[in-house]
Amino acid sequence: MAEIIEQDIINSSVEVGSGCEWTGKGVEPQWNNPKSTKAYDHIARHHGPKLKPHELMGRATSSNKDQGQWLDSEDWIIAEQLIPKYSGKYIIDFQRPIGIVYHPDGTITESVTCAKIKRNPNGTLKYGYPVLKS
Amino acid sequence: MNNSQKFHFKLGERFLENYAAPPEDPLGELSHFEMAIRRFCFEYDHKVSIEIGDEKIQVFLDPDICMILEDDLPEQIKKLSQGKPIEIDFAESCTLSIKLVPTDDRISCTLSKFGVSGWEKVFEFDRTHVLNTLRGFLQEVMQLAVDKGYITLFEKDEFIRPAFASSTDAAVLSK
Repeated sequence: MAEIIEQDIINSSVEVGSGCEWTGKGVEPQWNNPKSTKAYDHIARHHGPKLKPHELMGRATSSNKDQGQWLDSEDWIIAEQLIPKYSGKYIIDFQRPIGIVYHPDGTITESVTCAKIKRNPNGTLKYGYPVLKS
Repeated sequence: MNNSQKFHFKLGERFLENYAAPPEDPLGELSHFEMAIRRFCFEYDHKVSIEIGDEKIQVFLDPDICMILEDDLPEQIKKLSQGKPIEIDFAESCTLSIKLVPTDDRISCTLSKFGVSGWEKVFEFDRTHVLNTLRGFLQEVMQLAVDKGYITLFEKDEFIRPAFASSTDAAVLSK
């Protein structure tokens, strides 16, 4: 059973996200499609399972910051469904392996179970990537 | 609270490594402008150095600055100029939130890291200096996107207009 282990809710007065009324610009994103640029753009491009290890390692080195990679794109859809329907920042523990974390020193941590997620005021996900449990 | 004048956003050198997949919109959900900004930041990536008080961080056009442009940075600047608090959030190349809270002619700036307990620094800056810094950086990045042919001058002017539109801002009134 997944668990929210840290949260910083920005606005708890309006429910947003899948299953809620769409208040953003244009048409509602396809929440159940991991390729939805509107809902999940930077997650797929910068942390998706199709990225090659050297790309994640390169980003970890150049930014001097851990870089997480999802194993399965369906998991960011699940994350969107599991976090509260409020804009804010969350750390969710799936309690099963969902990703890999590449460290700036070139080492790798596999079988990572947590992910850091931010939900925008319109409900879409601003970012989302696997992280080590702090 | 630290009083400081070091509040800088500076466009740095080109960054030639592409560590992400190219921008795509397979479902056709984004506008021409939204895709153009993503392509510009990816294909013409630059380092960006941010200096706030004694803190120095380095981010990149792709994805960090691209993401705050998507968050409608011009509208954020407009809110700040109208005396409303804003938050600029970096989570990709660093983990840092910059909360800016205006009070009269000063701005309180709180740096914090989500997920790292207890890390917070507070600075205070001249309000006009902060607004001019953010506007100047926005103008520089968007002009580069025009110069490189990703967006038109008209599109740039339309996008950045809110940042320069506030009638309550002394910096604008003086021009």
